[in-house]
Amino acid sequence: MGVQLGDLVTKQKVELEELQGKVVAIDAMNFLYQFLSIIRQRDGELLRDSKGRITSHLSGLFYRTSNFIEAGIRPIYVFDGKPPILKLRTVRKRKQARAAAAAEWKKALEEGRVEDARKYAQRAGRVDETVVDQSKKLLDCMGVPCVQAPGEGEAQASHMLLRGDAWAVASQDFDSLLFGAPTLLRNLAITGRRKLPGKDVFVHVSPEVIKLDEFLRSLEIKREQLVDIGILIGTDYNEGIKGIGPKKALELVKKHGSMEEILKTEIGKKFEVDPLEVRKIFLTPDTTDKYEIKWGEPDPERIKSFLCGEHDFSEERVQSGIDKLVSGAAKRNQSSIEKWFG
Amino acid sequence: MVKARMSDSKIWKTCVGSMVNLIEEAAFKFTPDGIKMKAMDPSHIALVDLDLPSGAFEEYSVKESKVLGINLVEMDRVLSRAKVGDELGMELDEKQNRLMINFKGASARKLSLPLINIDERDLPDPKIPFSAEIDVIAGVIQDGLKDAELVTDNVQFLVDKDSFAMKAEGDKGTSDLKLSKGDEALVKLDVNQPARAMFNINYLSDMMKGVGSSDVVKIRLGSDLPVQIDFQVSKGRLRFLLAPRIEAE
Repeated sequence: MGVQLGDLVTKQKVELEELQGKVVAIDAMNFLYQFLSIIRQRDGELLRDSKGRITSHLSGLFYRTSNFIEAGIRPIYVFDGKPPILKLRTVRKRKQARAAAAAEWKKALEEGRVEDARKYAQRAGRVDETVVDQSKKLLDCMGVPCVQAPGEGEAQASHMLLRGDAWAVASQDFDSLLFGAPTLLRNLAITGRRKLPGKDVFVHVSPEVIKLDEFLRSLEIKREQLVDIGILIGTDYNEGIKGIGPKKALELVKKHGSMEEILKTEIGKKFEVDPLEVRKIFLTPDTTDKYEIKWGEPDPERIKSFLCGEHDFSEERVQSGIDKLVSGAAKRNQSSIEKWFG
Repeated sequence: MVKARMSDSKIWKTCVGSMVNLIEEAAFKFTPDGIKMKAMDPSHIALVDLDLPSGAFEEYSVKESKVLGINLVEMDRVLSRAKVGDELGMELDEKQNRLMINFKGASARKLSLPLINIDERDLPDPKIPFSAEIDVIAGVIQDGLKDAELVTDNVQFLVDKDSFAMKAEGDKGTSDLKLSKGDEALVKLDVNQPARAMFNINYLSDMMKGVGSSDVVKIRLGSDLPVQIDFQVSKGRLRFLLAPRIEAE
């Protein structure tokens, strides 16, 4: 999902503790999707409470977020609003892909192929209204601010960076760079000791920082041209051109300078939607200045009644998460010495 | 060639002992004029700045500047082997990429430390408009911290024309330490503008750990600004800067 810039990007590894004091605007949908994909039982089944309701997202949201907060990070979860019309087709396709994966998953389970079952199950994960509502409720109990985007969450998060309200957008997707976010933080949702898919091997995953200006400088292009590269490869709003990957797209954009010029070539005829319309989504996205960011104290009683009372979480583990939230809240007002570097 | 010798190992031991609680690894610059080191703790809350001129050593010979990456935890362990009054020698073994540490007392002992690779990043000098200078006996600050530690995680430093105070307030109670002009432990009080700022007690305690309780520390303060704490070590100085906690933003 999102635009696949993989090969082109220059990344820098950081450790969680280096993010102390940093405000991070989290692409909430992306995180929830990751939690629903990764946090699974061994056969691929989602975590569920005694009434059979899915709890993988709540588990991820609670335990991972309390780790961020303990490390002194200030998270803001930014939720999607209405998708741009051009995205509807992508949304439909994802639905089909999930339905197909769900069927494969069932089949693999029946045939006893556990690893396959897990693989397909991960693809079947979906973020629906219930997941979003429960997540917002949990974050509220934890004292973590949520922002409702009018359109795409990543666009709103990037906008908040540009207004100086946050340091980085956290997402696995690269789209926020196209939306103009100066800093992208990847791997935050999966930081720590993680199992490699399909193997019994564990690796240590660290967050990665991608700086838009360094990235553009390394490619010797402007942000508008990065958007054009994305459109050539394919975004959530258009298919992209068959046979054009990141390297070829970069070459084309450098050769022709802009999408307008590319449209005059043979490639121009291959787009199924107007690339200039797609470009508008990235360059003039639907965002708002009306949001409030405030980190509060966690409310242990509400957290326990929601997670342990309603959803059968272990009291002991939830308490250790609450302890992290409390200690993080206490550290929150600590400034960094870098603030005084000239 | 990098070679240095001091007649009392305690000086270097105190330096390392004071830094090791904040930073694990450090890039020491051995220049012809002396040893310099500047580093932040991993959370970027504190900055350590060591300046030990060649005059602090009985023998010091560094032809051209060299940066030696040292694991402070390991060095601290090696230095813990020094006996009181031992002479200390340090010498770079370029072939083996090691730092040789020699103790000379009842016997001559040699230990060596592998050097490590550290990304050398030149940190800027923070610009801080301090409004007060306080020179005070270290033991007083250490006591104030121990009192405050009983009740909470943070302590407030307050200074006005006539006094310096450390106050803490938490669920478990309060603590209050006051030094007034004329008190023997208050060596100097020079206040342009009254100031108050809040700091994490753990960090302050770590910084004050290595210093002797009768030594004088030089404190610089400003409202909601970092605190600067200087210790004199032989003919050089060890400086700590600690960023404040700022309650309302």
